[in-house]
Amino acid sequence: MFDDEDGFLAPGLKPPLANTSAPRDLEPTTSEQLLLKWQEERLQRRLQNDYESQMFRLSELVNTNLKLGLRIRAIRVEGANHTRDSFLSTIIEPILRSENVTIPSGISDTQPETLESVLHTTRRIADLLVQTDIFSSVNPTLVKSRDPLATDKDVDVVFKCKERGRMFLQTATEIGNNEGTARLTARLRNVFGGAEKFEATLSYGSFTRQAFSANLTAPLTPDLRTVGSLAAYANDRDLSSYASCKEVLKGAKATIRTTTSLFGSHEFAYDAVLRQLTDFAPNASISIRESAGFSSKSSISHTFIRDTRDIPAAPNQGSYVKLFQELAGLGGDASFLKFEAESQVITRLGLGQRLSLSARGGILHSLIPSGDTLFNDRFQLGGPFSLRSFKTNALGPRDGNDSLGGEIYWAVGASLLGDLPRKAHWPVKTHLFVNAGRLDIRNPQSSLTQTIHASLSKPSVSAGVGIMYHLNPIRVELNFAFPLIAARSDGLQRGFQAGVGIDFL
Amino acid sequence: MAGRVPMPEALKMLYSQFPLRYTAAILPPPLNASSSAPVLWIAPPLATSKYLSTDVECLKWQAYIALRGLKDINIRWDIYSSGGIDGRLPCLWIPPLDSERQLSRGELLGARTIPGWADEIQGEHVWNTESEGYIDENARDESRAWVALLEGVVHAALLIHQSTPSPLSAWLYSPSPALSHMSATLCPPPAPMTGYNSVIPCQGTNIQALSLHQRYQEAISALSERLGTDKWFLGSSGPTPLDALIFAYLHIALHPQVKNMERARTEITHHVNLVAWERKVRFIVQGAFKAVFS
Repeated sequence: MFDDEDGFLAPGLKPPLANTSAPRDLEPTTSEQLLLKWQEERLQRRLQNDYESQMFRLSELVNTNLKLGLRIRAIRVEGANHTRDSFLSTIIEPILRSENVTIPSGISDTQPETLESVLHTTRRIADLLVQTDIFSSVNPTLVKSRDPLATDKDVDVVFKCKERGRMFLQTATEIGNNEGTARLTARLRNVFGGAEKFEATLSYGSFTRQAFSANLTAPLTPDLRTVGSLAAYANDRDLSSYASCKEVLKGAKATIRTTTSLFGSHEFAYDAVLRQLTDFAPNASISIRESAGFSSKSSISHTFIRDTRDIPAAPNQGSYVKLFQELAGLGGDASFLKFEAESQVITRLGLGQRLSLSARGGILHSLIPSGDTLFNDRFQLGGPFSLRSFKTNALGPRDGNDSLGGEIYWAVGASLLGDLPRKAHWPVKTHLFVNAGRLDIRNPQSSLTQTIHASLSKPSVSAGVGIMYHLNPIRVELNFAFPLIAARSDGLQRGFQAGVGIDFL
Repeated sequence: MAGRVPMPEALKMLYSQFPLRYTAAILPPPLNASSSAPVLWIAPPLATSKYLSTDVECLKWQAYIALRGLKDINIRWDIYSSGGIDGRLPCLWIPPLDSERQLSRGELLGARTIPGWADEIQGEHVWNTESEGYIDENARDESRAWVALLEGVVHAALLIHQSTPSPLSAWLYSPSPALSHMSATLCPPPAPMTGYNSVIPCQGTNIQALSLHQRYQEAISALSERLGTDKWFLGSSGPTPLDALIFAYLHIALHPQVKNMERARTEITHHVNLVAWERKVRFIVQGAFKAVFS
């Protein structure tokens, strides 16, 4: 059956990893309870050692037979009752092709098949089956092929799988920020038998805030790295903290997301959305009232993200790059070109200190002759996540209490994060930072270079200290900071400022 | 408020030191349609109806301003109704004084405060007297009854002819249903559709369209009869606030936006004096405004 049959059938005698023949020393004699416990521990120890010994022998057996000639005659996935055969073929066949496995005609000419290649193929297929998120368990086994034409070297790879529950329904009630929210989430897994996922969420808040989204996601490529999704959404966003109104969004979005290990992830999206600014506060400014009503946006966008940080919310080392560009004007009222960039580098300095350098910026270019942009599309800046010691979204042009947003912005930050003395293992860290940035409206009379130069030459700057608590997956910050340089129109937050979120400067 | 802890003086002093330096304020972009004259924000007019809003409330105040003889008022219709005071139009934007242009972007008045503003601008005006421009106190009292009739039956009759939006349009634009307006307009309020002698809460509004149309017919006939061959309603020698109100309703009914309102239009066209009167006032109102856009 095997080339090296003797070596396979009669492995050399090897001692076990540990001596499992425990002597009867330390056997208690005073109490039955103690004796029972002693015997139980002894049994457990023996079983553990037996298991380790068997694993050792098995791995040795495999390792010594890696070059043994074997070929896959058939692949069977058992337990995939709600999964389409065509979908399984789509994801498995490319792996077989890449491994030069040809079924059922026999071994490929280019490379002989061995136990090693069969095991590699099996592992790759098992990994992919797990990635589909259809199965709760995937157990591969190699069995002798049941094909009547099969030779001694032919094996079948059988994946014994167990599908996850297809339906999931969850209700949740949350209370916080003086508001109660009730949420209903429904999820349907493997909808059409091809690892598609459908999720719908509906939530209501006590201040008539409501949100709805329905999202259908499906893998587009056999390696499952490219995923497409179709989403419909509607939500009310309360902007009253900086713009005396509410924004209602109703739209649909189609997305193709792809991930590659070396170059980060790419997302291409088409978004069609109807936006409404409504529910203006009695003291809303005239500028913001001019933006009232409906506007529509039809845009395509591309997002690139490369993230090597160990913990995104509270990183210790790594880097992060995000590039976003959007072109609006394929129908609808909004017509612009938007570009945003964001990056962060974190490095260890020793003695539990880490230095984080961050930068972000964006530019919004109107594509209509008048050069006007809509409030909904403009950037906002300021607050604990971008420029600390300034009120949330309170930088840039303002009319009364309303931040009107800007068309060009930049922000940079340097943070020194450190462990608490003698408490390096605590998730609480110290934080010393300097932030700078500015949000401007583009002057139609000035060139882009002049606008950028003017913006860079008059930054708003703040500095302070604080503590940071990593409560996975979010980060909580409490800072004591002051603005050092500010524009007269900026909204200031002197002293203490708290922030809860993920994406901090 | 009483529980608020006062900030220590030392901390206040520290806070006042920051920021260490101020740079110039970032100025907001200019308003989309700024003007040196007051601007009335109205709902959009029809392309065929020069400057006259398709919304009866806006048209009432357009006619009010024009018939009162206020000059140099501009209009704009590029702002959605939710941008107005209390989420409705019309609103009157008053430009800031020249000396305050750097600091202020003007003042926005709701419709209810327009008469007060007009009194302030015009000083002594016949509409600002006890008789409010009517020939006597009896005519003034009678005007109240006409106002109730117009804002009740006539308003509701015009609303009932409005077309119902499609389900998609209703979901996207969330318009307030005409029926709820009608419930608030009619006196006495209409009965509910269901729910009598039942533990289930009342549902819907039971509006008898035929009966409403009959009352509308009677109201139009009464208006025609009251106008007769007079120049203005209630025998006044000059226009009154009631004329502004009647013009708004007659104009909306005579220039329908939807086919459903054709029946309401026909009722008025049976009365030649009303049609001629509306035409005469229309020219006055149209001539009082000019559009302002940036």
